[in-house]
Amino acid sequence: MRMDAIPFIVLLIPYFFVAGVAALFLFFNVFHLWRYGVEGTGTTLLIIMYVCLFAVTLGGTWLALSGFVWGDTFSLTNLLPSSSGSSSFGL
Amino acid sequence: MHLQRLPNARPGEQVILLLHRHWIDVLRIFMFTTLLIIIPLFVGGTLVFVNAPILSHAVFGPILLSLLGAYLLIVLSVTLTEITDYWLDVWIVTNERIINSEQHGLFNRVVSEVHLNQIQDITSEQRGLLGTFLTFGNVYAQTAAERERFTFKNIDNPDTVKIHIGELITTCKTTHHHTPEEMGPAGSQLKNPST
Repeated sequence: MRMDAIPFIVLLIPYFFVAGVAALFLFFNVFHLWRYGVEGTGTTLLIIMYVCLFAVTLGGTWLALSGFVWGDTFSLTNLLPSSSGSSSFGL
Repeated sequence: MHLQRLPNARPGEQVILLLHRHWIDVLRIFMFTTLLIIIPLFVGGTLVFVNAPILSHAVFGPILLSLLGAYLLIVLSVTLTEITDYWLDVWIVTNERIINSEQHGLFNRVVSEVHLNQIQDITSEQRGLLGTFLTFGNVYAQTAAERERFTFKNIDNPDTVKIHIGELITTCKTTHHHTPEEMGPAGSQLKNPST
């Protein structure tokens, strides 16, 4: 393995961080509804809707991300513009 | 909160009205969320349409996708917090008092109450084109206390609510207020202990 090789999984760190924060937000939202909401069908349905929406969003994004081979590595030197000035984006 | 177990409930206290903000506020939340979801879809669609090489790039493709996933989770969290804020803003009118329970964000909550006897004046207000056509607005209950007004924000049919609360105040004051004549000689003495 080359010294400047970076595993693709590193690119998922921001995603995992945001997913953790989103899970925390879901917990606090559900807690507030359960603790302070008026007891009834509306609050129960809202809690179920929250959990389902979170599961669908997290599952959907994870499904889309799972198409990549995150175990591979890439090199930063390949991303930097070459001396000829051509961009790695090809734009 | 169970409506049959109100905090500091008096004997015989009944819930007359349970008010949330008007549904237009929910519509605003959903429109805002839809806009936030459409923007990246539009940008992504444009990139696909022009066949931008960045989408098939070995590194930037996965980066874009993971950022899109993170973005969607952030949008979801903001939307859920806004809906919670909406749902927990509640005004409960009983035959004895008004309870105002307002949620501001996730960790800021204000609960206050006022006895119907303390309300001196009640005002309803509908503003703007939407407020007029969809009949939503504010109701202000003026009390004698230092706190100037007790506000029902963006509720449905503020005029009807105002009339309803006005009737409840009249009933409450009639029930709780006793004239010296009604109280008899002892009551008169109590009213004017100096005499």
